[in-house]
Amino acid sequence: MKSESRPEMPFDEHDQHRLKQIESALSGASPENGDATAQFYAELATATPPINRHFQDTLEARIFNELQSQQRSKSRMNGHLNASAVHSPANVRPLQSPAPRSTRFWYRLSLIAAIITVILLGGILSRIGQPASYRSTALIQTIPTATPLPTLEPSTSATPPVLYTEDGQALQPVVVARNNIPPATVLTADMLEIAYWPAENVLPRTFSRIDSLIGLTTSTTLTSQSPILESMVLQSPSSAIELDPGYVGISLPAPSTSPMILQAGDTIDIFIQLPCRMDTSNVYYCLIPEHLNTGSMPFTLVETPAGNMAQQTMLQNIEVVHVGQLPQDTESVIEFDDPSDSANLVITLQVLPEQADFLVKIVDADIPYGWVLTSTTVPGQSPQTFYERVASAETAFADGNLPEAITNYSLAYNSTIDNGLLAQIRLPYVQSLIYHSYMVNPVERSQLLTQALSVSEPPVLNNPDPDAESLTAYAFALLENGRYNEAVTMALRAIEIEPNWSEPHAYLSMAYVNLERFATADDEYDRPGDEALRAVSLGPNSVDARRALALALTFKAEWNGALRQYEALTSLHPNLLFLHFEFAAALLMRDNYEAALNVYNELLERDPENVKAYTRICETYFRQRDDAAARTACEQAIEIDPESALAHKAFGTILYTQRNYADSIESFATCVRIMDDQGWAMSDRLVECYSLQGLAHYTLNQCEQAMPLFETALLTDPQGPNLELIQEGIRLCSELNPSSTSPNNPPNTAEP
Amino acid sequence: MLDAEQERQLIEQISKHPAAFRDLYRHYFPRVYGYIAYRIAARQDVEDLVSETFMKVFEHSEQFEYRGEGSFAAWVFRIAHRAVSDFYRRHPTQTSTLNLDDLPPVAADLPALDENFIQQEKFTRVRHLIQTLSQRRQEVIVMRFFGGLRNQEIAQVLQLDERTVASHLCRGLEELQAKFETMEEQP
Repeated sequence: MKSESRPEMPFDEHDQHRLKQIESALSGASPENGDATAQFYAELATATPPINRHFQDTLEARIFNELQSQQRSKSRMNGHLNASAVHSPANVRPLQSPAPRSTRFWYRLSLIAAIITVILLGGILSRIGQPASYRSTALIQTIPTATPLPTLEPSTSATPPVLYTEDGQALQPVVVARNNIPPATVLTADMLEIAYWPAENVLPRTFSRIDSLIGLTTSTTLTSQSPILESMVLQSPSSAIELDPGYVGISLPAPSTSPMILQAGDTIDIFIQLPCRMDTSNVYYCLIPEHLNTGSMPFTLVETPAGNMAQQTMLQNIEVVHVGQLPQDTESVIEFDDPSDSANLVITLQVLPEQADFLVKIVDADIPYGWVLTSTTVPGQSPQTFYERVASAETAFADGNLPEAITNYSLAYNSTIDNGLLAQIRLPYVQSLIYHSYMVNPVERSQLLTQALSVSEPPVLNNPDPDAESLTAYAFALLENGRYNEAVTMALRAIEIEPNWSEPHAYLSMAYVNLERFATADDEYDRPGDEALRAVSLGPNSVDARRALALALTFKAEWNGALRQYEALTSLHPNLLFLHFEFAAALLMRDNYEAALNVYNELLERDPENVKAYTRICETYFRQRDDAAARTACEQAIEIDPESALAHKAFGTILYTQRNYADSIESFATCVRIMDDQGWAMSDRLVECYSLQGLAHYTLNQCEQAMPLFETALLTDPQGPNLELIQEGIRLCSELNPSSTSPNNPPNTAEP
Repeated sequence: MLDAEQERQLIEQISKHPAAFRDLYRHYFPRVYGYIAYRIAARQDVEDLVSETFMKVFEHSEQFEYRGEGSFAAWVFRIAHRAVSDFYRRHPTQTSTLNLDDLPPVAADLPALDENFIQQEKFTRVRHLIQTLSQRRQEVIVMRFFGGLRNQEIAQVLQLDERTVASHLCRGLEELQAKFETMEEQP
């Protein structure tokens, strides 16, 4: 928005008086009798909108608990998705950037586990009559909300005294876990300690004495320094349900629409129903909540007492692990719209964490759901969870194993329908695809880039308000697909949302560089550099921030600066081999052959079978005219991968310059055959395999073979480096009588 | 009510003490709610935008840089203002007409029903009047009276000169008062 520097209209003393009256009205002062203006202002100042206190409290609890949960889990989150900036593929967010969705997710999970325990112990309670939309909030509010103060040494048998702060605030003793304690652990005194919390923040059902807990078994993970609630421990270990590894339990009230009797061991499909209305053209429009990714399962239109609904199966083959009634005698954690619903039947399901999160969301949003019994048995093996897959992907990425990273990101991506979780891995997934694309042949690269678009495009195009992660991932995919203007747009949108995140600035810079290669606007000249510098300052370890800066510096012919960035990159991310290639390529631009060879050799120490490295070594030696060394390297490349078109091209080029035309033809023909077999697009093809092969044929006076190769070369790359030679070859071959172009005729003397 | 020093201390403590955020939230909630309720028609939308605003304040609180009295209020309302603007961009056909059915439900802990109903009715009447003003004047008056912002802070939020804000405020109120009196005179 442009700032208006001058007042819209004159501002006079009368206005000053008015402003004083406004101040007076807002301060609540009574207007003088007869002062109509002041009375009007007083009337206005008191016309405040009535506030829905439930909403206010709900939102407060949500934010407050997320803040607290975020603090508790900061270290865990840093170590999980966001941390390890050096190794994390996205290098992802500035440290201060929140990751509230997943924090909330784990937080809720622990609550769910606690609820299950309460259900099983018969400790559930019923607070009927509250609106259903506040169910989850009621649960959240059961978590203590205070910053723990210094703890005391355990005093197992005595109740510690209540303390008071200097300002008279009471501090109540609560038993907390000394360290994280896993589920199914029998508690001992040395695992526990007393902490003092402001009394107003201590919830009921905590423990004030350590000995009350000794010998009890944990039903869920007890977080270090968090108060232990009654619901977090079992009086008897046998009352626990054993869940398969990787699964969590979640309890759901049975809706009246699914009255069937279930028993533990059954498997069910869970569906949701969304309201629909029909327009005048008999087309149905159904309302799908924005925050729910409803996946790809088909919708079925069903008639219900509440009207037409679009029904969609969301979860399949979910195992019921417990079925019970909700006790009536105690206060409630789960609340029903109607106390008579299905006789307060509660089922407990074994689900994956992301499925649990989805179920919590549909219950939160009051989306009607139900289930049908299925006959499918529960798979025997325990699948990896979303987070386990992401962790595997991150490990593979850090190890430089990009195909493995892609596989795991893909599995993680398809394991959940939660947009919040998907957003977290969208950029690293896209980065893995694109980085890997630098290392493969053009056909595979094209497939990987298409995949990057298919991962990143729908979340932006299908969402009116996409998140910064999705926009950034899409910007990178667009950039690599040559759609620079769109990349600029997406990066700018991401920056508007997350101005202090490195990656959008990096992609913006790269897009500007690519656009300015063809632009003449001087005023935009510094944009790539500025954006790249900002990217690096925000994310010094970010792969793409430093790549962007290197690119921008190269564009401005600041070679040394660019080389320093690549040097830093290969040091920060030594396992990302494509960075070594980029570093070496930058060195070769300055004709620094020895340094480039060193980089390639260091790369080979990490990956001794790297065909591309051998090929580049071959090319580098060739440029130095060390044909023997070049030939050795190329032969090694071909031995490792006989189907490397690049290696055959390099080898053929050496042979050609050594005037070994016949053998060079063989190498170039192999190169062409490989490109054909692999389905290379014409625009991607290695033109030398045609042009030099044609010239070799021409030199051998084989114009019949040479001409089609020249034509293909011209078609493939009309501006290629051998253009003049090709045109000369075409001219001379054309002048020859076709009958005289047989190999038996004396070769012409033209020197290619 | 928070004075400037208290507010500054709470802002500094957000990252360490969640309770600090709660106090800020309680201070700002009625103001943000008041502002958005006057700018958006449907109650559900109002609540969504209020949630969105506070979630963004929460998510970005560590990035906020305190620059003196009023800077936090201006920052919070800039987020709210942007949320409202984005809402209208996403829903260009959305009208801001309000009817009594859209008003918040009566909460159990509020005064008697009649008193609450009177308050709702008063809010509705004033809101209809304010909606007859230009968008800029609506913004300024609502921020001043229901967002509790000073002219200087409104100027920061709307990126206007402070005197322009004062001018919009005075002229808008003149216009509003004239309409109010006309309405009062009608049977």
